[in-house]
Amino acid sequence: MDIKELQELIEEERSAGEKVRRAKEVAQEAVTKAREQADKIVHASEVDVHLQELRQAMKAEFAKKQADLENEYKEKLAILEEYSRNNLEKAVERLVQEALKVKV
Amino acid sequence: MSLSAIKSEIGQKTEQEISEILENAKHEAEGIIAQANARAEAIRRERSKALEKELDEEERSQLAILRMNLRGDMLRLKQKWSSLVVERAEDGIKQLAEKNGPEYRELLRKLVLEGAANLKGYRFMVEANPRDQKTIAEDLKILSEKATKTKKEQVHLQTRPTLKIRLGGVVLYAEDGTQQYDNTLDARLMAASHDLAGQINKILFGTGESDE
Repeated sequence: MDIKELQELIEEERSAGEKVRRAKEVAQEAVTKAREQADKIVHASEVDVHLQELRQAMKAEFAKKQADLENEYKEKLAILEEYSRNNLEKAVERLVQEALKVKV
Repeated sequence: MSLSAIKSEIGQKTEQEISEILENAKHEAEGIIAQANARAEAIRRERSKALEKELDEEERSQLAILRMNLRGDMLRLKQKWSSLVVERAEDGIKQLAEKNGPEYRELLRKLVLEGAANLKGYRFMVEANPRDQKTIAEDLKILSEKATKTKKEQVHLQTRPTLKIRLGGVVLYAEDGTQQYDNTLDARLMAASHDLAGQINKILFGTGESDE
């Protein structure tokens, strides 16, 4: 092998080294981008819209339960009111009868 | 080995090394993203669970307060009707007493005789409001006779007016002042409404209980 050929080989090796260095840079950049994207993914989960939706859904469900309970009692009160009104005189009569019942 | 063969080998090894570097970087990046997705999912699950628990507790406590208030409304309604029964009964008794008809006069006599029968001794002072005292004074002789018959010993009745008795009825005092028998209509109504509370509730509300 003469001097010229040896120089060609040295140049070939240098060029190969350069290619590897650039590939490493590209690889590093890809990993860095992945880390940045990962941070964004985690951050997004912390300010998740899903939680707001869940809160709204549960609040709506609670409002329904509250309304159901209020209606249930409203109905009970109405029934009680009517029943009491219908039986008021009977109750008064029974009380008067007892108050005036004299054991001689 | 020829120069071109050496160059070719250098080229091949370089390509292989570059390919490995890029492939490894790709795997590492994918791993980082997968981990981030898993962590994000875990955070979401944890937060959802915590939020559900928080809202569930809040809801349970608010519903308990609401239920308590509604039961309070129910109780207040029952109390309103129970009080109305007593008020109406009082009105009825008041009308009967103010009318002062034969029925009421008979009731007054019975109230006096019941009082005398329930007190020890044979000499009693009968107190009544001026209206009732007048009626009793008129019937005092008959009442004394009836009481004597019941107690099988001579009974002496006296009467005096008082402004302390509101609705009507009488209070009997033993002569020595040691005993008294409150047979006023106010006292009887109060006692009856107490004794009959369960029965009145049953008539009014269809249950004997004061709650639901």
